[in-house]
Amino acid sequence: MLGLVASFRKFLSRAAKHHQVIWMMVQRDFKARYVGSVGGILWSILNPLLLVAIYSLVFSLVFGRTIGETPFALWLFCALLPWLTFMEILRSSVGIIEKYKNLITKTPFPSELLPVVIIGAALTNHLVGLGVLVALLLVFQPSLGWAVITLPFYLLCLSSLALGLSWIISSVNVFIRDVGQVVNLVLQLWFYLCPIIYPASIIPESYQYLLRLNPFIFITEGYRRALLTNEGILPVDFLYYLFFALTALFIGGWIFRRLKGHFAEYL
Amino acid sequence: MEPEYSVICENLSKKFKIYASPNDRIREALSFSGKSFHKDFWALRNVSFRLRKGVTLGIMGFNGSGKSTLLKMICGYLAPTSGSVITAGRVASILELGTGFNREFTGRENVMLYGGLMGFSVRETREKMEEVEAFADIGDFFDRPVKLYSSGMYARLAFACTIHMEPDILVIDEALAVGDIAFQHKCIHRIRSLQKREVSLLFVSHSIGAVKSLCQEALFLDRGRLVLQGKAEDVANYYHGLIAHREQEKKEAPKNPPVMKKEAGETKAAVRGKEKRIGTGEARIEEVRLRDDGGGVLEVVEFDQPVSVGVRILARVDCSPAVVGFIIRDRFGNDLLGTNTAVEGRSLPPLRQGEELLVTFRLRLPLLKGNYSVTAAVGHDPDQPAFLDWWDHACVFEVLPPASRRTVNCKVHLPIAIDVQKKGGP
Repeated sequence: MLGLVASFRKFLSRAAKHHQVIWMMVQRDFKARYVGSVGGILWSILNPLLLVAIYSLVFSLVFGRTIGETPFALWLFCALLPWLTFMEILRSSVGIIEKYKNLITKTPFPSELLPVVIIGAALTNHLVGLGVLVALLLVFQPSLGWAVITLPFYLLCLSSLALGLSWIISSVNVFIRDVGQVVNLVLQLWFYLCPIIYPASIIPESYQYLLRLNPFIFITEGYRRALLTNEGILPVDFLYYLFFALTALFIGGWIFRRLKGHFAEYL
Repeated sequence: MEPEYSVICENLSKKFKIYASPNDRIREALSFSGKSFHKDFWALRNVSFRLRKGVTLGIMGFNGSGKSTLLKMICGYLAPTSGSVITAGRVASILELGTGFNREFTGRENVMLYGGLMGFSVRETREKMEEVEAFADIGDFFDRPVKLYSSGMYARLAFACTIHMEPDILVIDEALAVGDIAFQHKCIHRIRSLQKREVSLLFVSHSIGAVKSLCQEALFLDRGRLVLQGKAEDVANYYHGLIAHREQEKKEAPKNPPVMKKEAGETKAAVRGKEKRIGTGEARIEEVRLRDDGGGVLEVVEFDQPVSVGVRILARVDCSPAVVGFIIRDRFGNDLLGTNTAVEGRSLPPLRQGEELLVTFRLRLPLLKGNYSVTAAVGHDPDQPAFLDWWDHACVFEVLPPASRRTVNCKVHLPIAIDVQKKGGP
């Protein structure tokens, strides 16, 4: 346990030491996405909007035009946004070690910080989306309450689970190239297991516990509580999520540390 | 760590594990049972040395001898399997033609990134930017993605970036090989100014000349072991000798000596006796000696001293050698002087078994001071590259600087007449 805390402290101190480089890489990633494209930052707004539009068109036929008092599209957007960020982090993790191979083999940059770069870039993107979402909410449903301040907390939770998983995905993928396919498959499945495009209430009461087994529901429902119903964090859900996040960090950290030494030799 | 040293390596070893497949690697890394799935390969074994501050160390060795592995461990990018390496101060490196550049980033962004990795703040790196840009001298490409660079530009950026990061230890792995001559000169000039500032340099190169001129000390690695360590000049000469040796071991047919007429064709030459000798062995060069006018053997000669090169040949069977020749080479292996009997139009008598033949070439040695070697050969036929005996570096000698106050600047100094005319004017 003590070793675990120590290695996590080491990770944090390394992240602090290289914060400038990480920040530069995040900026660069953000720029690379939009510089040179005519649409620029518009794309990062348009993409989720289009997705929201399509899903809304289809699923509002099933679940009605509003959920409670919220238009279906907005209700969907609130939960879809963190999911898209989560998905983006895991997908980018697949080839990240190869992408920064030069950095790993020829500079003292610690490779365990690469997922941090991905998360940083995804969060930047997330903020753009969040800006759009908040703007829409203000237009259609001017009821943004104090619970908005819990959003950074949800993002922190999202990032820690994503970091643990990213360590596993990025390191294992160096040696086993099937990881990308598996990640895609799991993400597809996971998406439908989360009540993002459907309300949790459509699941019969006797099966609700099955839905609650999925830890990510804490984030998606949490976003809705913060943005739509102005409710705070559910402590039990949080503890359940925390357990998963810590497990992912622990296993991910362990795997990454074991495989890290092989990167330079294998790349 | 004692303050006078900047790098201390002690019993440094690196073992690479060779896996049959990537799956084996991950199976082993993640297995609890400790089962092994690999074969061992020692890239470096028990290497120990100390590098004093401000000293430039050349690292030589054939491909695969562990040079790059050693450098990567000194930089800290690879962890040693056993032993230790301690470095004092900031280490900057140019490994394998480039540093940790990101291909998608522009040159400028890469410099910022590298500055950050070296522990400089954004402001500090910005201050260096102008100098780096000027030194790299790649024009508009500085603001374009590195992936569009030619290998020369890449090397320019890497070099410019690295040397401006105020390193205490600078590691250069064959980075001077690319880049045009002008840039190489600029780099060498810059390296010299770093040397004056007490920067320790580790310099991997296959260029014997570069090692001799830039390094004070050198070490030679062979298959992961430190074979020789000492003055750069000695190690470079050793390397040079080894190359000559290897080349001859490799080729059954010897290279045509420049003084004998070139002709394609296979020869069954046997490598025999001492390492640097090739030939059928029908006759054998017994001795090659440099002598003065009085017949005394010379090892040190004065500039432009008249000498004779005597080649003594012993016939082991009845044979008729048609040509005897010699080449004088400098320490870099350049052929400077030489000729053979066929070119000079002298015929040779046939020999019976046990008979000896002494061929003496008389000449002057108007050479730059330094060490030289004599290579001698005896052949069947001036038109065939078939040798009875070919002896590389049969003897060595040293040339002293001219006794008079005249200086010699070039390798060979032949008498030159000078006319000076002044024209025009009031």
